[in-house]
Amino acid sequence: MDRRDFLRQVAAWSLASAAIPCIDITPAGAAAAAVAPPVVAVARGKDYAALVSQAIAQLGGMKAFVKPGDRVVVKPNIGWDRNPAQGATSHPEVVKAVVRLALDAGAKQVRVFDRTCNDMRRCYEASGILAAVQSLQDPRATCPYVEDRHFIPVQIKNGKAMTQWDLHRHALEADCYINVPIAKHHCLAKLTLGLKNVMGVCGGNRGKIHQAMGQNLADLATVIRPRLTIIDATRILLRNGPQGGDLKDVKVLDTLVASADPVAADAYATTLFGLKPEEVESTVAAHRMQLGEMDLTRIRIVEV
Amino acid sequence: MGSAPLQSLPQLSVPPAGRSGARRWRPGWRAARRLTQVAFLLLFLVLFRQTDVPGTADLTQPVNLFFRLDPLAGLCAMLGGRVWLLAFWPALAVLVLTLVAGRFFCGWVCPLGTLLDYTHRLLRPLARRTTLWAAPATGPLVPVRYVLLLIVVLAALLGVPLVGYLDPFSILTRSVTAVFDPALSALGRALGNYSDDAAPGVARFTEPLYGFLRDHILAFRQTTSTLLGVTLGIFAAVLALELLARRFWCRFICPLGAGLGLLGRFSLIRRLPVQNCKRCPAQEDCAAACRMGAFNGQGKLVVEACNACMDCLADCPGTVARFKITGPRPAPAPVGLSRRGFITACAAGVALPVVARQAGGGAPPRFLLRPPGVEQETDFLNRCIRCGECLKVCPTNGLQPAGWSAGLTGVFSPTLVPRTGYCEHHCTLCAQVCPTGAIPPLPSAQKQKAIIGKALFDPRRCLPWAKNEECICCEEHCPVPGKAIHFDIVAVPNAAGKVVKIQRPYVLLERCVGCGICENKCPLDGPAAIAVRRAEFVPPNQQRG
Repeated sequence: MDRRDFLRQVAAWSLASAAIPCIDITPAGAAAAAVAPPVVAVARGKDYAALVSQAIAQLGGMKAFVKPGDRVVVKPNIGWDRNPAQGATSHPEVVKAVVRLALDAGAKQVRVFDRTCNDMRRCYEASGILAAVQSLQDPRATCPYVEDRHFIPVQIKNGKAMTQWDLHRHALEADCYINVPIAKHHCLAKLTLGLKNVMGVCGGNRGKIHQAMGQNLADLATVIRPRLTIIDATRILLRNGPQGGDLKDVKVLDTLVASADPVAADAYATTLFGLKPEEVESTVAAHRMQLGEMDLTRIRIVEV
Repeated sequence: MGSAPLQSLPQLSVPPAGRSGARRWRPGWRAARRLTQVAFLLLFLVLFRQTDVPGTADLTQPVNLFFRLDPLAGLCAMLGGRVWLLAFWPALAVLVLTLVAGRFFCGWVCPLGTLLDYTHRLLRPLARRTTLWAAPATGPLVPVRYVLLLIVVLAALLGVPLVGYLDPFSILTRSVTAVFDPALSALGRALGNYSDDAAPGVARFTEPLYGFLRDHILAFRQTTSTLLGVTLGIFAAVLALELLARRFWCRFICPLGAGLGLLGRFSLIRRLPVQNCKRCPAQEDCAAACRMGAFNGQGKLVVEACNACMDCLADCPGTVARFKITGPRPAPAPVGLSRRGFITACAAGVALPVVARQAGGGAPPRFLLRPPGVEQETDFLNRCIRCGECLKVCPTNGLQPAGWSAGLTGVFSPTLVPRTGYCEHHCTLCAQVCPTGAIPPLPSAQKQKAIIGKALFDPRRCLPWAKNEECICCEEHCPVPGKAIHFDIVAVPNAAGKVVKIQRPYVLLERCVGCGICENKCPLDGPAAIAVRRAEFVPPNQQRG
């Protein structure tokens, strides 16, 4: 730890302790969305690592998102004790490629984690994501288990349905938060895409987010703001989501959707299921709160 | 040392010079025993820690080793279950070794015995020894352990499982699982919470420390247990008996020790001389110092009480006391159980099952769920030795010790409490660690189909039913193929009076396996709006729950 680091930490800590019990996070850059049409990069192909590079290249490359020395959080969906083929969790190759690009861009630290629904150890292993991160053999990249102590109460100032929730400290403190959800069916949300993936950094009784879920997710999106959303649609779950389990419900699309606009990414990914963006409540609610664009005609879609 | 004579009244060969009362230092055997004790205690703790989720793989370590070393647990499970249990082959080795070295197991191996030795050191200033146990090898309490042994074995034969309440490893493992591990975990996590909020200068030191504890010492997650007070009470009582006499539990109660002692009567190696020395130059009194009280009123060694702790060997000023191969000579002294006592014990062993059946009889209550694959309640209870291994390994903390609801003889048997933790779909760990096969070892695919119970909704509490609110968390989590929870889409007025479409869930009973994840994840505070009950409590022609 050098002096600058120390001072920075002291400052951060003092701020944090001043904000106890609630940390107030003001949405930054909410107004920026209106300036230029958001870009959604869509890459198709069998080499999933290549898809990641190609898609991100269309958005200006990883260096546009990760600055040297950044603390990066990569948030895949590791929610279930399912293997990659079952399409319930983000593909390990995709996650690994994202982490590698972040490391190459000079990240100081890359954390990959998710608060799982099934036993965490089983999920981390069955999804292949733990092994994928470890296979990079870079001490900066870790796949730590989520700990209760890291959830801190956060006030959601602009929330319409939610005013406060416990969120994962590392997700909040990250310099760059990269959302890597998998696109799949969800009976209540209809689809689970980028906005829904925020549940993995939520503490407490998450079942209580399920009443008026669309608005709740939009509210959470005012606080957890990914710089980059990469939706893994290499294979999608058409039925019996989000847990799946039956290969008959899985459709291989070999597609990756990436955008700096979380709403635009979700809006485009919805079309992969033959649905319209308006049919997913969280997309509508987030758009209404000016968190991003959902009108496909106002989104620049770049296919690779 | 080999030159010492074998006569019954030994001559003393005192070390020639030195301070008065100086002992010849014989480090070998006592040190070896202490080291062995520490090693087995550590092994116990290491295996305990490894009784946990190894990712998605099967367990490879023999985490239930101590139970498989336990001939009494093995015998009772075999008698109760009417099966041969080959997993208990290590216990056979213990029996053979007992024929060689007597009751060494109690003195050298048993981790509970080791803890009792340490407890003795702690409690020594408080001890109030009464004369009641002054000559324990012949004292009035000596028959108790034999009576208990007889009762436990006979009861097992007649279908009443009692061994788990008196087996030292069951008591120990259950206590560590239910009380000490969670307590340690809570303490450790308190440090973690502190460290998380600490100033960077402090966290710099506390964070690596907590990281080490978290990764190597603490349980993966904070667990809780039912019957916590009872479990702790039993364990504390066993330890507190040290106030009355050293190794009180081993001397007077432990049925495993009693059984090993009976076999140890025929052991090849034993402590000599059989008679305590009349005149000791160092005024050592082996009989008074013996932690097992293994000398009778006449100063004669009672072989079945000696646990080969080697104290008298190490403390002997000369070369008199020694352990030697003497060939199998059954000890002439009676075991201390009179004919009357024997008959009483047999009668009790026979009568107890009758009483227990009467008192605890009847079908199990509807919410008493058993681990996956268990089909027949009586068979299960007869084979279960209440060892607590499954409670320890359950990744969701869902397996809990049952209370009185399981009947008089079902206390401490494992029951799934879905509100605490559900049965993980792919997991088969409880069966993997069960030493007796009371939880049948099924392959994962088969286990996923094993019926634990059936889930039923409570429409008075379920949000889409009672309040016209959307929810459906239960359906989201249901792991069975095609889902056992389905829903109807209905248009209903919500709280604001607006007509909305919501999903009203119901259970497809023929698909439900009763894993309980729905009950576990139900977001309501307090009891869930969906609850798993035993399948026999669901009307046979009911298709929706």
